[in-house]
Amino acid sequence: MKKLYVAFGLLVLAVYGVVMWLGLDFHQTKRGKMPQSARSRQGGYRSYWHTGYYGGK
Amino acid sequence: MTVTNCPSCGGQIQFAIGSSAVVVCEYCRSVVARGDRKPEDLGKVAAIIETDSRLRRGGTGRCRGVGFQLTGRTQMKHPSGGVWNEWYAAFDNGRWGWIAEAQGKFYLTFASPKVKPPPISALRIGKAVPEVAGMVVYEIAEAEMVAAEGEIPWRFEPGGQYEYADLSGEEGKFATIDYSEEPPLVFAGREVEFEELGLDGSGARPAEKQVKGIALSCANCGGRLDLVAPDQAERVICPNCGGAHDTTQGKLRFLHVLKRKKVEPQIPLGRRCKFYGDEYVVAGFMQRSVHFDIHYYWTEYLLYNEKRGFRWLVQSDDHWSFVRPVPAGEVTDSGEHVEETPANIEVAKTISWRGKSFKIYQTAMAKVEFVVGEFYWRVEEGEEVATADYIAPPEGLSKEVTTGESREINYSHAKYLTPEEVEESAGVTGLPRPAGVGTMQPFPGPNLLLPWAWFVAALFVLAILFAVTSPNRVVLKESYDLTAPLGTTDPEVPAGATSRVIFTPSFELTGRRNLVIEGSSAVSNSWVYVDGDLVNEGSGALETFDLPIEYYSGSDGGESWSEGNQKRRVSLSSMPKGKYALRLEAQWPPGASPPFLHVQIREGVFRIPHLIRAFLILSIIPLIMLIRYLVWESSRWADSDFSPYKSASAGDDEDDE
Repeated sequence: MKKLYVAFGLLVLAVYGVVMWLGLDFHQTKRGKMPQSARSRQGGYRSYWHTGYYGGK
Repeated sequence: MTVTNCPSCGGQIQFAIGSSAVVVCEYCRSVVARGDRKPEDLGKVAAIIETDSRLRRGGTGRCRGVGFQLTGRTQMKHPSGGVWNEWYAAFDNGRWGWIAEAQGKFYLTFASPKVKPPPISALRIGKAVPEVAGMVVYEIAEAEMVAAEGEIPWRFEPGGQYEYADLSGEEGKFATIDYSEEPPLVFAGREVEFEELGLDGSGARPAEKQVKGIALSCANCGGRLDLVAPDQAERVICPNCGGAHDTTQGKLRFLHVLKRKKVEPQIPLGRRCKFYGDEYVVAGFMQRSVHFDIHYYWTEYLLYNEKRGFRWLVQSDDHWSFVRPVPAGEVTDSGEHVEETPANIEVAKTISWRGKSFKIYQTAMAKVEFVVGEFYWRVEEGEEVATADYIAPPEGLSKEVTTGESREINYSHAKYLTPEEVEESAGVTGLPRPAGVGTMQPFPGPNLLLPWAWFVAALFVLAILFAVTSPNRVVLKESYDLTAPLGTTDPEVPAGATSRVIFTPSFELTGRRNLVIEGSSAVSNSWVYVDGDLVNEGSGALETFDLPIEYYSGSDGGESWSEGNQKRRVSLSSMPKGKYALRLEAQWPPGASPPFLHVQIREGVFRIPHLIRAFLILSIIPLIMLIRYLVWESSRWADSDFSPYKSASAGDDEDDE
């Protein structure tokens, strides 16, 4: 049991080190991609600049 | 050498050693002392009681490089009825050594004329005597000189009574103070193994004549009595009829039949067992009890090994322990004592032995309820002794104090054994398994304290390293007045609008660094909800997040209150290296003035929640073990009057009663 805990502890330290090194976080966010069609339009998604305050996307 | 004639019978006697004081005449057993002009007859002594001692008069040996000869011995009778031999060794360097032989042990001492001991009235059982190297008194008694043979270095009177005190110290140190003379004499030395005496064939009982055991017949029922240590047994109880016999006079003498309720030993008498590499024979069995609210019973098996002497195997609530005697001089107490004790014996709250500390578990008067087999003292059913038990699992120390004709303190050390270990050692099966936690039973779980401490230390070292090396770089810091146009081409914000979309200027991210996005607004009893997208301008990859900023405050019955926060923060995992922008959609309640919005992004921020999570994950298993350990220990101490787990309120309730 002691050996198992030592192995577990080393794993926790390793995971902590990796998380901190890679800058990972556990916040619930969504990743996605802006569609090419929106990006390729002149001005891209910035066309929303003019209509955004109506809440549209 | 002086040769002369016995003044009693005329037989020839020799004073072979120049410094000897008396010689016992072999013909008439008169004790003959050297006189100024002629030998002096001091009276007759009884013949030596044959005890199958391993030593022989006339034998020679070598101890610590100095040769000696065993010139004679006396036999002393203890108040409890037992007899021990005191051999006298004339060393080649002119010194006399005393070799006391009792219960298979040997104690070699020499006269210490420079030591001035205190009077016997000043001695206390269990207390150290500074004048005698701080050794501890473990017995104060009066012995009777009953028999003698050979040449002896001190002048004694047959049948004389001698008050003495025995002391013990660490590492086998031993001393005895003889109060038969004024001033008292101190003999100091230590316990020695038989082999250390270096006796040649003349001084030791021939191996083939060493008695391994004898069979006798019970004087009451004729049943067989097997003695495993006939030279040391003082009491034998017939397993068939309970007939108690005395064996101290070298022969079996029937005393009486013990009234008892028979208790069957689970390991039969005569069984050979092996413990810690030594073979023992089960010589005797007894049941003892203590009385609190009810009677608690336990059993003890007396084991015998010719070299090691006597040991005990104790069974209590189906938990087992192997017990051996410990010199009182090796035990030190804490100085703080228990208030009420049986027979008013002094009981410390903690004692130490060989660097280990033992805590008081229980004090009681222990009573012999049943006894069968062979014992080295005159055991009787009903005899009582004051006891104090100490524990340091898996070990224990027991203190027994007898008061009466002789005052004696005995310590014994116990080591926990499982029923499986006893079954294997004793060659028995079917021993019952214990139900509860034994007083010395070790906690079965692992001790994770040290590895946990190491891991926590390593975790904090890692955390400090990361904290120190985190850049914590501000990559964006912008403020927006949501009421005003944000650019020259922006139209006016229409009245009644409740949302606004903002695009921040581009900024660079270095990659492999986490991000903290912070939004703040001076809302008061209002809110602004920010829906955000972090967009990679090259690949189009985006990450959405939200910042619900709300703050409320007021006063209720004179007490002010507040809820929410004017700042909101969100942490994001690292994004690939590149150019990014934020798209923010801010919403606010209808009728409210659009607030100012401040946005800041930092890269490479040290995150304390990760450290807390890692610490908690590391601590879960040790915490579970700790709870299990506390439950176990609480159960262990449940029957103790000195439990550290009994609450103060429980103590107050008892006081109220």
